[in-house]
Amino acid sequence: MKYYFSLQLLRLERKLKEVGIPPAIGMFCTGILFIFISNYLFSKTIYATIIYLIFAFSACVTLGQKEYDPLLRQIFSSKEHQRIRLYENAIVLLPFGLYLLFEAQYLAVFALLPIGLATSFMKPRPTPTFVLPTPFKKFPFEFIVGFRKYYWFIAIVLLLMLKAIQVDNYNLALFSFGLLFFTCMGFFVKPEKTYFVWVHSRKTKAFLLEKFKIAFICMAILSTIPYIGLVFLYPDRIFITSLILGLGYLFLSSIILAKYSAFPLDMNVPQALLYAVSLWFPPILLIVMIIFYKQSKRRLDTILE
Amino acid sequence: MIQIEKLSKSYGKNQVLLDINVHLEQGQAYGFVGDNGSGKTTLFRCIAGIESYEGKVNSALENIKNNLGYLQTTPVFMSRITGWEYLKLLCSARQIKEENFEEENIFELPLRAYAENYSTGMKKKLALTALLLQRNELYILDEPFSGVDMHSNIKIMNLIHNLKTQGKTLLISSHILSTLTDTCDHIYHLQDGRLDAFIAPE
Repeated sequence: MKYYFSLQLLRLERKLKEVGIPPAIGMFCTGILFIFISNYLFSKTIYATIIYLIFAFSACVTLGQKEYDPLLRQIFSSKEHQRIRLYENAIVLLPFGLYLLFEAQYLAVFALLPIGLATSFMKPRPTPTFVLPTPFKKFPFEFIVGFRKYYWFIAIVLLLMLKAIQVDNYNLALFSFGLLFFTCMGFFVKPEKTYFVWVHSRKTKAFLLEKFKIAFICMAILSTIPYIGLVFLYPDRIFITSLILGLGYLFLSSIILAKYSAFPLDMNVPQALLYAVSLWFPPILLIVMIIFYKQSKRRLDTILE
Repeated sequence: MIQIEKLSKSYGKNQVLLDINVHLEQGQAYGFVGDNGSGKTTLFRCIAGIESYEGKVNSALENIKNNLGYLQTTPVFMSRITGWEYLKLLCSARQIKEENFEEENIFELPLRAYAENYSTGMKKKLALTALLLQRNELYILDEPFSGVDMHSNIKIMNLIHNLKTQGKTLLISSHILSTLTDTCDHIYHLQDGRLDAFIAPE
């Protein structure tokens, strides 16, 4: 088991080296980034603790769904496997716990314990045989795949918006509306296999335009009713609601470009940092999009042209 | 139809293909045999334009890639995509507005089920169905018979004959020589990166 964890550390070091970052600096910067994001979250919303716990829970669930978990179950006894999962969860939850202590959220720190324990028992979900219907049947593939993976999260976001409207909390409703876009942006983070780009007969520009078109149509299917609802119920806030809608579509376009800017690899660290900065300060997004478009064109030209 | 001239490919110091010269005629099937790692898949990937290479691949077709159906040894599938959606994806990639896939479902696959839950052979048959729907001019079939049941193998062989009569060109690799002798007009042997032998089928 000790060897397993030393291998995990080795894998992490190799991944960082592959993207050109010395492991020690990479880990240090990740820590700083975690503190920065946590601080930002807690300074911006009173719901930070709940959001933080949701993130902690998601991190533990994701860890339990790793592809090689069946292999671990084969090579370790069930007792050892359980211990591995507990240690892994403890490692992931430690930074969350420390920051919650810093924020004096003692109750939330205790809530991490059942999260870590309960998620350690979770088994990776096999692909269900039941096919979840989606409203995107004619528009393969990102929204179809993303919706089927995260339909439960989309449902939570929409319920949160309904609840916010019910208690007349416009800010929370708007936050949920933004979160809907943010969730859908997540559908485009992971690059597909090269074959699924190569198979297109379109040239790069047409390929990207087609991607935008499909993404916009699918996003409209999900966001139009919530948008109309918000505009109808809060007509005096139509400007800010429409601004979030517009920004949502802009961010959606930008994540598509970001994905293909490093294709077929994942985004590298400088690209991810550039993107994170543009999310934080949207006015520079247009410049970042131009950079990502040029990089995407170069990457896709080698496959499509 | 396609002229391959002095095609070479190396990964660093590892020379995988060396001075490959082949002329491919329309309506003919070409078989490629060779040991594991002899470079068959690399050659196919070079012709498909997935890999960079030295040399030339000239064609009468305006763009080989857009007229090429490439069946990979192990077809890749996305998670949580049904067979029907996979066919739709590959058709829309070629701007084909086909949606009546049940009629074209020659292997009688469960198109409403997730493709990733298919067996190895079913996945191969789904990928092949998609390529047929694309109405390509050139087909590269990398190990089309492996992992597929006997009944479907016969269907695939019939398909190859049908495609040939339609004037399509096929490049096929297989470890089962009899499948190639039954379907191909020419068989090449790839060894140490060279097409150093030519076997004429009986």
